Amino acid sequence: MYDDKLSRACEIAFEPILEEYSVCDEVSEKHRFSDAFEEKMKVAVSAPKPKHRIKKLSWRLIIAAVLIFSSGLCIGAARLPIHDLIMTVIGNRNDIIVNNKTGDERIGLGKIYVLTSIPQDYRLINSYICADSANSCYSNGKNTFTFLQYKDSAYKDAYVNDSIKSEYITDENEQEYLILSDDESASVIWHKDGYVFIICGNIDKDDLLKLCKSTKLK
Amino acid sequence: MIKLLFADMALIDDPCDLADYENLYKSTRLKAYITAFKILRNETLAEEAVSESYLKIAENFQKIHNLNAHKKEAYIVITVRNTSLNMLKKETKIEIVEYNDEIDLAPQIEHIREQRLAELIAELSATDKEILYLRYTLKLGYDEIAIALGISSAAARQRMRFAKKNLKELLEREENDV
Repeated sequence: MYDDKLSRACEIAFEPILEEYSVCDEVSEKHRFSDAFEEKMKVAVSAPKPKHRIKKLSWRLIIAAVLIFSSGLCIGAARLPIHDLIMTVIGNRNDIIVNNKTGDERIGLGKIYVLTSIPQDYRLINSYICADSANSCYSNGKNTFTFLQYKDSAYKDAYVNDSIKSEYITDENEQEYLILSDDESASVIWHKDGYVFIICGNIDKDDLLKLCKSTKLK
Repeated sequence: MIKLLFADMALIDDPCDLADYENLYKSTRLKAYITAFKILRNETLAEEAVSESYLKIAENFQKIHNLNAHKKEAYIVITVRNTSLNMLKKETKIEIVEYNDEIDLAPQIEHIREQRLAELIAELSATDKEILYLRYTLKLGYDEIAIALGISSAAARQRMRFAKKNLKELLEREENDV
């Protein structure tokens, strides 16, 4: 009641300000913006459109790219070429950028986290631990999911395909999760204790969330 | 935290939202430019303020894109005006200390007519009017207000506190007069 009254009163009071900014003797209705401005705004407002014309990588490929890149962190000699490859193939499409150049040169991942509620029919397919990340892949022959752990200094930016639905949820412990999903697959990303965790796979996002919540220090 | 990590994620992902945003930009950019020009009195700076403002608008677009055209326009004017003012006083940085002393206006507002309340709000400074409008009419949170005004969330809370304090004074004066 109080809020509604104040809301309407503010709206009435604000009306003259809007009118005041509608006209200016020095700017005509046919004002021509500078070419530099038009160019800048064309990029700012319409830039994502060309992405639709390019057949986009599926999010699985994006995650795969992250995997390839993080593998590159393990193999010093291969690191730069793999980084370059990802920047060429994906960076140009503005889909994902993983930037590990944060100046944090500590060696070792430190703590290792594991999933404690993996369904019984899933088997570990492969896993690795390297300087900045760890990865475990599980499958039941039909469905597969991957659990990734990064030092947060190793995981900085992510650009996702615009066909992917994204949503944030917060659990009872105030832990925030970002869920990226399409019709077939989902990926859950969260940040905790100085690490970025990702679980992705072609299983239901609620099941992925249960897995996320079962993460424990090894 | 996740938001920080994904700070550079594309601001508007949905193609429909993007089309709406583009239409909004095209239909309001002249008004935005006039708003900026009136403050900055310089074409280049005004264009700079407009482009910066539309980035902020994109950042809050999820929150504002369902508003009616009139409210969107008001939001844009507020954003551009504050971006322009911030450009003018860029060098002046005032540290704001958060102060959570919620001012309760309900007792006074309960007994006043809506039109009279609007008249009193109109007496406030533009800064006070804007933050009240963003908070109560557009129902924005402090983080969203902070983006629109180009200030920190703590500064937005502080500014709201001042606006409410000033409004409370006007309401009390009104009560005493009656």
